[in-house]
Amino acid sequence: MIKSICFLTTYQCNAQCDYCECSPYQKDKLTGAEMVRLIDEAKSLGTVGLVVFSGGEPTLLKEDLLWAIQHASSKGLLTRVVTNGWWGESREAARTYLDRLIDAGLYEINISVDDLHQEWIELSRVKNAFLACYERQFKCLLAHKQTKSSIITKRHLEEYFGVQLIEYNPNKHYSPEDECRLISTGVVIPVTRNEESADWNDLIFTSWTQSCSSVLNDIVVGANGNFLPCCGIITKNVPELTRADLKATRLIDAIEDANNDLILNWIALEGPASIAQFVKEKNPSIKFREQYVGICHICNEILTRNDVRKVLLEHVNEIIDRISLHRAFMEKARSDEKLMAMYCRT
Amino acid sequence: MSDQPIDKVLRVVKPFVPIKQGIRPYPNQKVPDYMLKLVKDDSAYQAFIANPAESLKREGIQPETLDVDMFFDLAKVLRDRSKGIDSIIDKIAESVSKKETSEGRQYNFDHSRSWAYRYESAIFHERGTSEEKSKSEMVGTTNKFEQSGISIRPEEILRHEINLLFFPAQPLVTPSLVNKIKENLSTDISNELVP
Repeated sequence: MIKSICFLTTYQCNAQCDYCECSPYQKDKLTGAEMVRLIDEAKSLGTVGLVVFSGGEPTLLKEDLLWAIQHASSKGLLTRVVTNGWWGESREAARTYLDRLIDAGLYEINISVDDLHQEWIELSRVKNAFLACYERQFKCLLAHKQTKSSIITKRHLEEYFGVQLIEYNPNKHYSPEDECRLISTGVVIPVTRNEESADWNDLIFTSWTQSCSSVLNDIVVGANGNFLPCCGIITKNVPELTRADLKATRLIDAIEDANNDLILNWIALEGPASIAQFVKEKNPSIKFREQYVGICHICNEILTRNDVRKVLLEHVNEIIDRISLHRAFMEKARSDEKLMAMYCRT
Repeated sequence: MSDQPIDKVLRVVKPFVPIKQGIRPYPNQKVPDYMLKLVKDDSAYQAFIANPAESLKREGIQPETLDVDMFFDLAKVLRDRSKGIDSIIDKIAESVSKKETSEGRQYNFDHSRSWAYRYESAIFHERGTSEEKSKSEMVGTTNKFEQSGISIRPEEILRHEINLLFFPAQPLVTPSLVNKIKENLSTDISNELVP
């Protein structure tokens, strides 16, 4: 079920972090009018309740961002901005900008903070942005990534901010006093910029062999208007994951097209590790790593390696029957709540 | 095209050739219906293993119209994935950080197995979500290797289970939803055209 739409409002960013495609030199961006139109389309899907503005750095859009927040809010949709907090140059500056976002109707804010971002953005700015939220009891979650040797940890932030942070659990309900000091810690996924130089001994590994629960559950709109049917971590150069131009295609048509795509169904139903296994069976000389950081990591690899793609192009017809049957089974089983609860968590 | 991965940020050398292939509507709905039966019904699955061709015929499916090996393999994958609550306990147990106060396991003559765990503190990490609890009990039993169990859990874990039941993170969009939305959109458009 599609519950949210996320705009990668611009690929421009005042940071240039490792493992991210955004940078000060990327100029792609959505206009306010384009976002407003797509918000209306998303609203008409009937299932979307949240609009996320991410990037790049969405606050670089200035008035267009405020307009889009205002429009989404006026349609009864919740809104979230994912920012690096650069606008917290001083506490007063942070308060002023936050007030503008709140006045536009912003519901909640995520601030990225970790060793990667803080190579480019002073931590004092994040502190000011965070404390501006905290003193107003405005919903704020610190989006934090970690490796084994990270300097910026939850404890480090607690000491620097002078506020005890609360580890976010999506299944919990938080009081207003708590929901303005949440932190969600994930792992660093070494994809795109400088992925080759990742220190493998420093990365934290999570499970990577399951199916992907993000494909066609998350609707992401790229800064150049492309439809991205997953969480958007993987490089934008993969045609299977960077699809229709939503400047020329209706959102629902793009969803339907993606919904019937073989590769996306394969990723969603059996996972990228299953694709890797298939490729290995067809060409045993193709080697994969013994371990991946997570599902996005292996998905990025299989979809960006030319040798893997070559095998897939040659043999993809052989898997149509199985994936089509699996999908047909899914549609039969979908209304079986107990079965789906088990099916979706493995 | 080179076998080396291309630079994925700014220096794209050549665009990837798209793998353009769709799934197709399954022509014989008896096949996915039977798959669902095999996943849910142990005796049907045992009968299928014993004699696949005959079992398929009994369901009105001609075995020669189906890749039986593929069907069997997928059924096994789906059954493994759809195991009952004990597979979750087993899975959690593999990834749990816990301080146990007591633990008991018993293997019985009838090939069943019973267990009880009591935790003072536990943290579960699973698929990007985490669950914490301060005190918990788990008791269960398996019979003839077919597992079943009871878990007594704090309210927050129970709420998580209920959320999963009613709002499971189902992959992909149901086609009927797409059709419904499209119908609504066309109705909206025709309404707009009415003077």
